[in-house]
Amino acid sequence: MNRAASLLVAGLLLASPAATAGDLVVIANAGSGVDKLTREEAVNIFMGRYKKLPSGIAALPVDESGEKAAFYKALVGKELPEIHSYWARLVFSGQGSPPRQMESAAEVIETIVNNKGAIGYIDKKKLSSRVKVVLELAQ
Amino acid sequence: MKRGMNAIRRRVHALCLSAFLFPLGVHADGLKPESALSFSGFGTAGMTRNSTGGAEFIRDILQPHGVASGWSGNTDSRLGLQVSVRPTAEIEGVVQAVSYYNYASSYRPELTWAFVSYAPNPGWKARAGRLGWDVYMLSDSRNVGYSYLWVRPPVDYFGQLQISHIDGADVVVKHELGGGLASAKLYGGRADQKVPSPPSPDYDLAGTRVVGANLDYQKGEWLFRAGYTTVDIENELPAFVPLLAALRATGLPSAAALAAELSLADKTLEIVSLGAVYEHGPWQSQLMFNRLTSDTLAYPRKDSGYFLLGYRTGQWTPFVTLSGTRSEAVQPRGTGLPTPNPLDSAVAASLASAQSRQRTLSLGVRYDFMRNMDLKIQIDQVRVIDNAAFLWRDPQPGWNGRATVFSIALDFVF
Repeated sequence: MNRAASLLVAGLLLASPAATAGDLVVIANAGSGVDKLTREEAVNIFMGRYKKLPSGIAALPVDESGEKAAFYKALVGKELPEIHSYWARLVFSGQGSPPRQMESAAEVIETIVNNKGAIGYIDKKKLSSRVKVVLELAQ
Repeated sequence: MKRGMNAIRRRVHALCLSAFLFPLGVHADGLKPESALSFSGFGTAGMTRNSTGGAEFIRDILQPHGVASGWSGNTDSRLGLQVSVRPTAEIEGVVQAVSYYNYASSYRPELTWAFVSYAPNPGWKARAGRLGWDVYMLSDSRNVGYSYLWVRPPVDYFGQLQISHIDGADVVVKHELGGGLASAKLYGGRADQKVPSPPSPDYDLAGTRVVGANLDYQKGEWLFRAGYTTVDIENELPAFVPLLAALRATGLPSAAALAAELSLADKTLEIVSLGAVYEHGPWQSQLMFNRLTSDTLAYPRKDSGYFLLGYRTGQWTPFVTLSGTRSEAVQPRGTGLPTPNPLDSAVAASLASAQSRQRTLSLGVRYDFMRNMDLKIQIDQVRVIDNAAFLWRDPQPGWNGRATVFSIALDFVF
Protein backbone atom coordinates (compact mmCIF):
# COMPACT_ATOMS: atom_id res chain seq x y z
CA MET A 1 0.00 0.00 0.00
CA ASN A 2 2.71 2.34 1.08
CA ARG A 3 4.80 1.37 -1.87
CA ALA A 4 1.88 1.68 -4.27
CA ALA A 5 1.11 5.13 -2.89
CA SER A 6 4.67 6.28 -3.27
CA LEU A 7 4.81 4.93 -6.81
CA LEU A 8 1.66 6.87 -7.57
CA VAL A 9 3.09 10.03 -6.04
CA ALA A 10 6.34 9.55 -7.90
CA GLY A 11 4.42 8.98 -11.13
CA LEU A 12 2.39 12.12 -10.58
CA LEU A 13 5.51 14.11 -9.82
CA LEU A 14 7.12 12.82 -12.96
CA ALA A 15 4.14 13.80 -15.06
CA SER A 16 3.53 17.09 -13.32
CA PRO A 17 4.11 20.11 -15.53
CA ALA A 18 4.58 22.15 -12.36
CA ALA A 19 8.01 20.63 -11.74
CA THR A 20 10.20 23.69 -12.12
CA ALA A 21 13.47 23.43 -13.95
CA GLY A 22 16.39 22.55 -11.73
CA ASP A 23 14.44 21.51 -8.64
CA LEU A 24 16.13 18.63 -6.89
CA VAL A 25 14.59 15.68 -5.13
CA VAL A 26 16.26 13.47 -2.57
CA ILE A 27 15.34 9.88 -3.36
CA ALA A 28 15.47 6.61 -1.48
CA ASN A 29 14.80 2.94 -2.05
CA ALA A 30 11.12 2.05 -2.05
CA GLY A 31 11.80 -0.50 0.68
CA SER A 32 13.93 1.77 2.84
CA GLY A 33 11.10 2.29 5.30
CA VAL A 34 11.54 6.05 4.94
CA ASP A 35 8.75 8.29 3.66
CA LYS A 36 10.16 11.64 4.58
CA LEU A 37 13.51 13.06 5.53
CA THR A 38 13.98 16.35 7.32
CA ARG A 39 16.56 18.76 6.00
CA GLU A 40 18.65 18.20 9.14
CA GLU A 41 18.60 14.42 8.59
CA ALA A 42 19.66 14.92 4.98
CA VAL A 43 22.51 17.18 6.11
CA ASN A 44 23.65 14.57 8.65
CA ILE A 45 23.65 11.84 6.00
CA PHE A 46 25.26 13.70 3.09
CA MET A 47 27.81 15.50 5.25
CA GLY A 48 28.79 12.16 6.82
CA ARG A 49 27.85 13.21 10.35
CA TYR A 50 25.37 10.46 11.01
CA LYS A 51 24.73 8.01 8.21
CA LYS A 52 21.52 6.48 9.43
CA LEU A 53 18.05 6.54 7.87
CA PRO A 54 15.11 7.35 10.19
CA SER A 55 13.98 3.74 9.72
CA GLY A 56 17.17 2.61 11.43
CA ILE A 57 19.16 1.19 8.54
CA ALA A 58 22.58 2.46 7.56
CA ALA A 59 22.44 5.19 4.93
CA LEU A 60 24.63 4.99 1.83
CA PRO A 61 24.65 8.48 0.32
CA VAL A 62 25.60 8.95 -3.32
CA ASP A 63 26.44 12.15 -5.20
CA GLU A 64 25.51 12.91 -8.77
CA SER A 65 28.26 14.89 -10.49
CA GLY A 66 25.95 17.02 -12.64
CA GLU A 67 23.77 18.18 -9.74
CA LYS A 68 26.35 18.16 -6.96
CA ALA A 69 27.04 21.90 -6.89
CA ALA A 70 23.34 22.79 -6.94
CA PHE A 71 22.52 20.17 -4.31
CA TYR A 72 25.02 21.32 -1.69
CA LYS A 73 24.21 24.94 -2.39
CA ALA A 74 20.55 24.16 -1.71
CA LEU A 75 21.18 21.87 1.26
CA VAL A 76 23.86 23.69 3.25
CA GLY A 77 24.48 26.90 1.30
CA LYS A 78 28.03 25.90 0.43
CA GLU A 79 30.06 25.89 -2.75
CA LEU A 80 31.85 22.76 -3.95
CA PRO A 81 35.35 23.88 -2.85
CA GLU A 82 33.95 24.21 0.69
CA ILE A 83 32.41 20.76 0.49
CA HIS A 84 35.69 19.29 -0.77
CA SER A 85 37.62 21.15 1.91
CA TYR A 86 35.22 19.81 4.55
CA TRP A 87 35.72 16.25 3.34
CA ALA A 88 39.49 16.66 3.22
CA ARG A 89 39.44 17.21 6.96
CA LEU A 90 37.29 14.15 7.62
CA VAL A 91 39.10 11.84 5.19
CA PHE A 92 42.57 12.75 6.44
CA SER A 93 41.58 12.48 10.09
CA GLY A 94 40.14 9.00 9.62
CA GLN A 95 36.52 9.99 10.02
CA GLY A 96 35.10 8.36 6.94
CA SER A 97 34.68 8.95 3.26
CA PRO A 98 32.44 11.18 1.15
CA PRO A 99 29.36 9.92 -0.72
CA ARG A 100 29.99 7.64 -3.67
CA GLN A 101 30.37 9.66 -6.87
CA MET A 102 27.93 8.85 -9.68
CA GLU A 103 27.91 10.24 -13.18
CA SER A 104 24.21 10.37 -14.05
CA ALA A 105 20.70 10.36 -12.66
CA ALA A 106 20.21 6.91 -14.22
CA GLU A 107 23.21 5.58 -12.28
CA VAL A 108 21.90 7.12 -9.04
CA ILE A 109 18.45 5.56 -9.58
CA GLU A 110 19.97 2.18 -10.43
CA THR A 111 22.10 2.25 -7.26
CA ILE A 112 19.12 3.20 -5.13
CA VAL A 113 16.89 0.54 -6.63
CA ASN A 114 19.53 -2.07 -5.83
CA ASN A 115 20.43 -0.94 -2.31
CA LYS A 116 17.98 -0.56 0.52
CA GLY A 117 20.00 2.09 2.37
CA ALA A 118 21.16 4.07 -0.66
CA ILE A 119 20.08 7.68 -0.85
CA GLY A 120 20.76 10.23 -3.56
CA TYR A 121 19.45 13.26 -5.37
CA ILE A 122 18.47 13.95 -8.94
CA ASP A 123 16.79 16.59 -11.03
CA LYS A 124 13.07 16.28 -10.35
CA LYS A 125 12.43 15.93 -14.08
CA LYS A 126 14.48 12.74 -14.21
CA LEU A 127 12.53 11.02 -11.45
CA SER A 128 11.69 7.36 -11.84
CA SER A 129 8.76 5.51 -10.32
CA ARG A 130 11.21 2.88 -9.06
CA VAL A 131 12.43 5.17 -6.29
CA LYS A 132 10.77 7.24 -3.63
CA VAL A 133 11.04 10.99 -3.03
CA VAL A 134 11.84 11.74 0.61
CA LEU A 135 12.77 15.42 0.42
CA GLU A 136 12.35 18.20 -2.11
CA LEU A 137 14.84 21.01 -2.38
CA ALA A 138 13.82 24.15 -4.19
CA GLN A 139 16.70 26.14 -5.56
CA MET B 1 62.19 5.74 11.18
CA LYS B 2 63.16 2.18 10.42
CA ARG B 3 60.79 1.22 13.17
CA GLY B 4 58.15 3.46 11.59
CA MET B 5 58.60 1.92 8.16
CA ASN B 6 58.43 -1.54 9.64
CA ALA B 7 55.26 -0.56 11.41
CA ILE B 8 53.82 0.68 8.10
CA ARG B 9 54.81 -2.55 6.41
CA ARG B 10 53.26 -4.63 9.15
CA ARG B 11 50.04 -2.63 8.96
CA VAL B 12 49.88 -2.80 5.19
CA HIS B 13 50.39 -6.56 5.36
CA ALA B 14 47.65 -6.84 7.94
CA LEU B 15 45.32 -4.73 5.83
CA CYS B 16 46.04 -6.70 2.65
CA LEU B 17 45.34 -9.83 4.61
CA SER B 18 42.05 -8.48 5.87
CA ALA B 19 41.09 -7.45 2.33
CA PHE B 20 41.74 -11.06 1.40
CA LEU B 21 39.66 -12.41 4.22
CA PHE B 22 36.69 -10.21 3.41
CA PRO B 23 36.18 -10.50 -0.34
CA LEU B 24 34.42 -7.63 -2.03
CA GLY B 25 30.69 -7.39 -2.18
CA VAL B 26 29.75 -9.88 0.49
CA HIS B 27 28.45 -7.44 3.05
CA ALA B 28 24.84 -7.09 3.95
CA ASP B 29 23.88 -3.93 2.10
CA GLY B 30 24.98 -5.33 -1.24
CA LEU B 31 26.66 -2.10 -2.33
CA LYS B 32 30.18 -2.87 -3.34
CA PRO B 33 32.79 -0.63 -1.81
CA GLU B 34 33.85 2.14 -4.18
CA SER B 35 37.25 0.55 -4.14
CA ALA B 36 38.69 -1.84 -1.61
CA LEU B 37 42.01 -0.03 -1.65
CA SER B 38 42.31 3.70 -2.16
CA PHE B 39 45.23 6.10 -2.28
CA SER B 40 44.90 9.76 -1.52
CA GLY B 41 47.05 12.59 -0.35
CA PHE B 42 47.39 16.22 0.58
CA GLY B 43 50.09 18.80 0.62
CA THR B 44 51.14 22.38 0.97
CA ALA B 45 53.89 24.26 -0.79
CA GLY B 46 54.42 27.33 1.32
CA MET B 47 56.80 30.24 1.57
CA THR B 48 56.98 32.25 4.77
CA ARG B 49 58.66 35.58 5.32
CA ASN B 50 59.45 36.95 8.76
CA SER B 51 60.11 40.71 8.89
CA THR B 52 62.20 40.62 12.02
CA GLY B 53 65.63 39.26 12.72
CA GLY B 54 64.81 39.33 16.42
CA ALA B 55 63.58 35.74 16.55
CA GLU B 56 62.86 32.79 14.29
CA PHE B 57 59.20 32.24 13.49
CA ILE B 58 57.97 28.64 13.80
CA ARG B 59 54.64 27.04 12.93
CA ASP B 60 54.66 24.85 16.04
CA ILE B 61 57.05 23.81 18.76
CA LEU B 62 57.90 20.62 16.85
CA GLN B 63 60.11 22.71 14.54
CA PRO B 64 63.74 23.06 15.66
CA HIS B 65 64.47 26.14 13.57
CA GLY B 66 62.35 28.88 12.12
CA VAL B 67 62.67 31.80 9.78
CA ALA B 68 64.13 35.19 10.72
CA SER B 69 64.44 38.25 8.45
CA GLY B 70 63.92 36.38 5.22
CA TRP B 71 62.01 33.66 3.46
CA SER B 72 61.69 29.97 4.21
CA GLY B 73 59.85 27.09 2.59
CA ASN B 74 60.24 24.92 5.68
CA THR B 75 57.59 26.46 7.91
CA ASP B 76 54.45 25.30 6.14
CA SER B 77 55.42 22.91 3.35
CA ARG B 78 54.33 19.32 3.80
CA LEU B 79 53.17 16.28 1.91
CA GLY B 80 50.93 13.53 3.19
CA LEU B 81 49.99 10.21 1.64
CA GLN B 82 47.16 8.00 2.78
CA VAL B 83 46.16 4.45 1.97
CA SER B 84 42.82 3.17 3.10
CA VAL B 85 41.29 -0.24 2.83
CA ARG B 86 37.61 -0.94 3.31
CA PRO B 87 37.10 -4.67 3.17
CA THR B 88 33.53 -4.42 4.46
CA ALA B 89 31.12 -1.59 5.19
CA GLU B 90 31.95 -1.87 8.90
CA ILE B 91 35.73 -2.19 8.81
CA GLU B 92 38.30 0.27 7.54
CA GLY B 93 42.05 0.45 7.76
CA VAL B 94 43.93 3.71 7.24
CA VAL B 95 47.65 4.42 7.08
CA GLN B 96 48.96 7.96 6.65
CA ALA B 97 52.49 9.30 6.53
CA VAL B 98 53.45 12.96 6.39
CA SER B 99 56.72 14.54 5.40
CA TYR B 100 57.39 17.94 6.96
CA TYR B 101 60.25 19.87 8.48
CA ASN B 102 60.54 17.93 11.70
CA TYR B 103 62.34 17.99 15.06
CA ALA B 104 65.52 16.63 13.46
CA SER B 105 65.54 19.33 10.71
CA SER B 106 64.68 16.70 8.14
CA TYR B 107 61.72 15.81 5.94
CA ARG B 108 61.84 12.14 6.88
CA PRO B 109 58.21 10.97 6.67
CA GLU B 110 56.44 10.33 9.92
CA LEU B 111 53.72 7.76 10.44
CA THR B 112 50.84 10.00 11.54
CA TRP B 113 47.89 7.61 11.35
CA ALA B 114 47.72 3.80 11.22
CA PHE B 115 44.51 2.33 12.53
CA VAL B 116 41.76 -0.15 11.98
CA SER B 117 38.23 1.04 12.66
CA TYR B 118 35.08 -0.89 13.28
CA ALA B 119 31.63 0.68 12.99
CA PRO B 120 28.95 -1.94 13.68
CA ASN B 121 26.23 0.67 13.10
CA PRO B 122 26.02 4.39 12.24
CA GLY B 123 25.96 5.35 15.92
CA TRP B 124 29.17 3.58 17.00
CA LYS B 125 32.73 3.61 15.83
CA ALA B 126 35.87 2.31 17.46
CA ARG B 127 39.41 2.79 16.20
CA ALA B 128 42.67 1.25 17.38
CA GLY B 129 46.22 1.96 16.34
CA ARG B 130 47.98 5.25 15.75
CA LEU B 131 45.52 8.13 15.88
CA GLY B 132 45.76 11.89 15.52
CA TRP B 133 45.44 13.63 18.88
CA ASP B 134 41.92 15.07 18.95
CA VAL B 135 42.57 17.21 22.03
CA TYR B 136 40.51 20.06 20.63
CA MET B 137 38.63 20.83 17.45
CA LEU B 138 40.78 20.58 14.31
CA SER B 139 43.87 19.49 16.25
CA ASP B 140 43.95 16.12 14.46
CA SER B 141 43.96 17.65 10.96
CA ARG B 142 46.52 20.44 11.36
CA ASN B 143 48.61 19.14 8.46
CA VAL B 144 45.80 19.33 5.92
CA GLY B 145 46.06 22.88 4.61
CA TYR B 146 43.29 22.36 2.08
CA SER B 147 40.84 21.74 4.94
CA TYR B 148 41.05 25.23 6.48
CA LEU B 149 41.21 28.91 5.53
CA TRP B 150 44.56 29.82 7.05
CA VAL B 151 48.01 29.12 5.70
CA ARG B 152 48.54 27.41 9.07
CA PRO B 153 46.34 26.93 12.13
CA PRO B 154 46.80 29.82 14.62
CA VAL B 155 50.21 29.39 16.22
CA ASP B 156 49.12 30.86 19.56
CA TYR B 157 46.59 28.06 19.85
CA PHE B 158 47.78 25.02 17.91
CA GLY B 159 51.50 25.79 17.85
CA GLN B 160 51.91 24.79 21.50
CA LEU B 161 50.81 21.21 20.96
CA GLN B 162 53.66 18.82 21.57
CA ILE B 163 51.72 15.71 20.74
CA SER B 164 50.30 15.18 17.27
CA HIS B 165 49.37 11.52 17.53
CA ILE B 166 48.90 8.76 20.08
CA ASP B 167 49.15 4.99 19.91
CA GLY B 168 45.93 3.78 21.46
CA ALA B 169 42.23 3.63 20.78
CA ASP B 170 39.08 5.73 20.67
CA VAL B 171 35.36 5.16 20.64
CA VAL B 172 32.73 7.54 19.27
CA VAL B 173 29.04 7.24 20.06
CA LYS B 174 26.50 9.40 18.23
CA HIS B 175 22.89 9.99 19.06
CA GLU B 176 20.15 12.28 17.79
CA LEU B 177 19.15 14.71 20.48
CA GLY B 178 16.77 17.65 20.45
CA GLY B 179 16.70 17.91 16.67
CA GLY B 180 20.48 17.91 16.52
CA LEU B 181 23.25 15.37 16.79
CA ALA B 182 25.18 14.65 19.96
CA SER B 183 28.38 12.68 20.00
CA ALA B 184 30.77 11.58 22.68
CA LYS B 185 34.30 10.44 22.15
CA LEU B 186 36.61 8.69 24.58
CA TYR B 187 40.24 8.14 23.76
CA GLY B 188 43.46 7.03 25.32
CA GLY B 189 46.95 6.13 24.29
CA ARG B 190 50.64 6.80 24.49
CA ALA B 191 52.66 9.48 22.78
CA ASP B 192 55.69 8.53 20.72
CA GLN B 193 57.41 11.67 19.48
CA LYS B 194 60.40 13.88 19.99
CA VAL B 195 60.18 17.60 20.56
CA PRO B 196 63.17 19.86 19.95
CA SER B 197 64.22 21.92 22.92
CA PRO B 198 67.29 23.80 21.69
CA PRO B 199 69.97 24.16 22.85
CA SER B 200 69.27 21.08 25.01
CA PRO B 201 68.79 17.60 23.58
CA ASP B 202 65.36 16.74 22.11
CA TYR B 203 62.62 15.99 24.57
CA ASP B 204 61.34 12.43 24.24
CA LEU B 205 57.59 12.07 24.76
CA ALA B 206 57.73 8.28 24.61
CA GLY B 207 55.70 6.73 27.40
CA THR B 208 53.61 9.83 28.07
CA ARG B 209 49.99 8.72 28.55
CA VAL B 210 47.00 10.61 27.26
CA VAL B 211 43.35 10.05 28.21
CA GLY B 212 40.53 12.31 27.15
CA ALA B 213 36.92 12.81 26.23
CA ASN B 214 35.06 15.16 23.89
CA LEU B 215 31.38 16.01 23.76
CA ASP B 216 30.05 17.49 20.54
CA TYR B 217 26.66 18.88 19.73
CA GLN B 218 25.75 19.82 16.21
CA LYS B 219 22.55 21.48 15.19
CA GLY B 220 21.83 23.41 12.04
CA GLU B 221 24.67 25.83 11.45
CA TRP B 222 26.17 25.36 14.91
CA LEU B 223 28.72 22.95 16.28
CA PHE B 224 29.77 23.02 19.92
CA ARG B 225 32.46 21.04 21.63
CA ALA B 226 33.68 20.59 25.17
CA GLY B 227 36.79 18.53 25.78
CA TYR B 228 38.83 17.31 28.71
CA THR B 229 42.22 15.62 28.51
CA THR B 230 44.87 14.53 30.95
CA VAL B 231 48.48 14.04 29.95
CA ASP B 232 50.63 11.95 32.28
CA ILE B 233 54.19 12.91 31.54
CA GLU B 234 56.82 10.21 31.58
CA ASN B 235 60.19 11.85 30.99
CA GLU B 236 62.11 14.74 32.46
CA LEU B 237 62.88 17.74 30.30
CA PRO B 238 66.63 17.43 29.48
CA ALA B 239 67.10 21.15 30.09
CA PHE B 240 65.94 20.66 33.68
CA VAL B 241 68.07 17.65 34.56
CA PRO B 242 71.26 19.44 35.69
CA LEU B 243 69.30 22.00 37.71
CA LEU B 244 67.13 19.39 39.43
CA ALA B 245 70.23 17.34 40.27
CA ALA B 246 71.99 20.40 41.68
CA LEU B 247 68.96 21.33 43.79
CA ARG B 248 68.74 17.82 45.23
CA ALA B 249 72.49 17.73 45.83
CA THR B 250 72.29 20.71 48.17
CA GLY B 251 70.79 18.42 50.80
CA LEU B 252 68.42 21.24 51.75
CA PRO B 253 64.82 20.02 52.15
CA SER B 254 63.53 23.32 50.72
CA ALA B 255 65.68 22.94 47.60
CA ALA B 256 64.67 19.29 47.18
CA ALA B 257 61.01 20.26 47.54
CA LEU B 258 61.47 22.92 44.88
CA ALA B 259 63.07 20.33 42.57
CA ALA B 260 60.05 18.09 43.08
CA GLU B 261 57.68 20.92 42.18
CA LEU B 262 59.67 22.00 39.16
CA SER B 263 60.26 18.58 37.62
CA LEU B 264 58.18 17.43 34.68
CA ALA B 265 58.54 13.65 34.97
CA ASP B 266 55.48 11.90 36.42
CA LYS B 267 53.45 15.11 36.43
CA THR B 268 49.99 15.56 34.99
CA LEU B 269 48.68 18.23 32.64
CA GLU B 270 44.97 18.85 32.31
CA ILE B 271 43.48 20.56 29.30
CA VAL B 272 39.91 21.79 29.20
CA SER B 273 38.68 23.10 25.88
CA LEU B 274 35.55 24.74 24.57
CA GLY B 275 34.77 25.45 20.96
CA ALA B 276 31.97 26.78 18.82
CA VAL B 277 31.74 26.79 15.05
CA TYR B 278 29.08 28.67 13.13
CA GLU B 279 28.71 28.34 9.39
CA HIS B 280 25.95 30.04 7.51
CA GLY B 281 26.04 30.41 3.75
CA PRO B 282 29.19 32.35 2.89
CA TRP B 283 30.00 33.04 6.55
CA GLN B 284 32.12 30.87 8.73
CA SER B 285 33.38 31.53 12.19
CA GLN B 286 35.11 29.67 14.97
CA LEU B 287 35.63 30.57 18.58
CA MET B 288 37.92 28.31 20.59
CA PHE B 289 39.27 28.42 24.08
CA ASN B 290 41.40 26.10 26.16
CA ARG B 291 42.88 26.17 29.63
CA LEU B 292 45.90 24.11 30.58
CA THR B 293 46.66 23.42 34.23
CA SER B 294 49.23 21.15 35.82
CA ASP B 295 50.91 20.07 39.02
CA THR B 296 54.36 21.17 37.86
CA LEU B 297 55.86 24.64 38.05
CA ALA B 298 57.17 23.95 34.53
CA TYR B 299 53.64 24.40 33.19
CA PRO B 300 51.88 27.33 34.84
CA ARG B 301 48.20 27.71 34.13
CA LYS B 302 47.72 28.89 30.59
CA ASP B 303 44.71 30.19 28.68
CA SER B 304 44.66 30.24 24.89
CA GLY B 305 42.03 31.09 22.38
CA TYR B 306 41.20 32.35 18.94
CA PHE B 307 38.40 33.78 16.90
CA LEU B 308 38.08 33.27 13.16
CA LEU B 309 35.71 35.04 10.82
CA GLY B 310 35.66 34.28 7.11
CA TYR B 311 33.36 35.35 4.30
CA ARG B 312 33.29 33.66 0.93
CA THR B 313 32.63 35.67 -2.17
CA GLY B 314 32.86 33.56 -5.30
CA GLN B 315 36.22 31.78 -5.33
CA TRP B 316 37.72 34.13 -2.74
CA THR B 317 37.41 33.80 1.01
CA PRO B 318 38.99 36.62 2.98
CA PHE B 319 39.34 35.99 6.68
CA VAL B 320 40.51 37.54 9.89
CA THR B 321 41.75 35.77 13.01
CA LEU B 322 42.59 37.03 16.45
CA SER B 323 44.49 34.62 18.66
CA GLY B 324 46.32 34.75 21.91
CA THR B 325 47.89 32.77 24.69
CA ARG B 326 48.66 33.89 28.19
CA SER B 327 50.15 31.99 31.09
CA GLU B 328 49.69 32.85 34.71
CA ALA B 329 52.61 34.73 36.23
CA VAL B 330 54.68 32.34 38.31
CA GLN B 331 55.57 33.55 41.79
CA PRO B 332 59.31 33.73 42.41
CA ARG B 333 60.55 30.70 44.33
CA GLY B 334 63.64 30.50 46.48
CA THR B 335 65.81 27.48 47.10
CA GLY B 336 66.41 28.42 50.73
CA LEU B 337 70.12 28.83 50.06
CA PRO B 338 71.81 32.04 51.16
CA THR B 339 71.31 34.58 48.37
CA PRO B 340 72.61 35.50 45.91
CA ASN B 341 73.53 32.08 44.55
CA PRO B 342 73.57 30.59 41.04
CA LEU B 343 70.86 28.02 41.78
CA ASP B 344 68.29 30.67 42.65
CA SER B 345 69.03 32.45 39.37
CA ALA B 346 68.76 29.17 37.47
CA VAL B 347 65.37 28.44 39.09
CA ALA B 348 64.17 31.94 38.25
CA ALA B 349 65.27 31.45 34.63
CA SER B 350 63.48 28.09 34.43
CA LEU B 351 60.29 29.54 35.84
CA ALA B 352 60.49 32.42 33.39
CA SER B 353 60.98 30.02 30.49
CA ALA B 354 57.76 28.24 31.39
CA GLN B 355 55.67 31.35 30.90
CA SER B 356 54.56 32.80 27.65
CA ARG B 357 52.25 35.47 26.43
CA GLN B 358 51.57 36.64 22.94
CA ARG B 359 48.81 37.59 20.57
CA THR B 360 48.39 37.63 16.84
CA LEU B 361 46.18 39.38 14.35
CA SER B 362 46.00 37.51 11.07
CA LEU B 363 44.50 38.69 7.81
CA GLY B 364 44.38 36.54 4.75
CA VAL B 365 42.53 35.25 1.76
CA ARG B 366 41.97 31.78 0.35
CA TYR B 367 41.48 31.54 -3.40
CA ASP B 368 39.88 28.33 -4.66
CA PHE B 369 41.14 28.65 -8.20
CA MET B 370 40.63 25.06 -9.28
CA ARG B 371 39.24 21.76 -8.07
CA ASN B 372 41.15 20.35 -5.11
CA MET B 373 43.62 23.22 -5.03
CA ASP B 374 43.77 26.58 -3.35
CA LEU B 375 46.13 29.46 -3.07
CA LYS B 376 46.45 31.48 0.14
CA ILE B 377 48.06 34.69 1.24
CA GLN B 378 48.25 35.65 4.89
CA ILE B 379 49.77 38.39 7.00
CA ASP B 380 50.29 37.87 10.73
CA GLN B 381 50.99 40.72 13.05
CA VAL B 382 52.50 39.13 16.14
CA ARG B 383 53.15 40.78 19.47
CA VAL B 384 55.12 38.82 22.04
CA ILE B 385 54.59 40.20 25.51
CA ASP B 386 56.40 37.59 27.56
CA ASN B 387 59.04 34.94 26.87
CA ALA B 388 59.50 34.64 23.13
CA ALA B 389 61.54 31.48 23.70
CA PHE B 390 58.38 29.42 24.02
CA LEU B 391 56.80 29.91 20.59
CA TRP B 392 59.82 31.23 18.72
CA ARG B 393 63.35 29.99 18.19
CA ASP B 394 66.53 31.80 19.14
CA PRO B 395 65.07 35.14 20.30
CA GLN B 396 67.72 37.84 20.41
CA PRO B 397 68.20 39.91 23.54
CA GLY B 398 66.62 43.28 23.02
CA TRP B 399 64.04 42.12 20.47
CA ASN B 400 60.93 44.23 20.95
CA GLY B 401 58.66 41.20 20.45
CA ARG B 402 57.00 42.52 17.30
CA ALA B 403 56.99 40.72 14.00
CA THR B 404 55.10 40.74 10.75
CA VAL B 405 54.93 37.37 9.06
CA PHE B 406 53.89 37.14 5.42
CA SER B 407 52.97 33.77 3.96
CA ILE B 408 51.89 32.38 0.65
CA ALA B 409 50.80 28.78 0.21
CA LEU B 410 49.46 26.42 -2.39
CA ASP B 411 47.38 23.59 -0.93
CA PHE B 412 46.21 20.51 -2.76
CA VAL B 413 44.49 17.20 -2.18
CA PHE B 414 44.34 14.23 -4.48
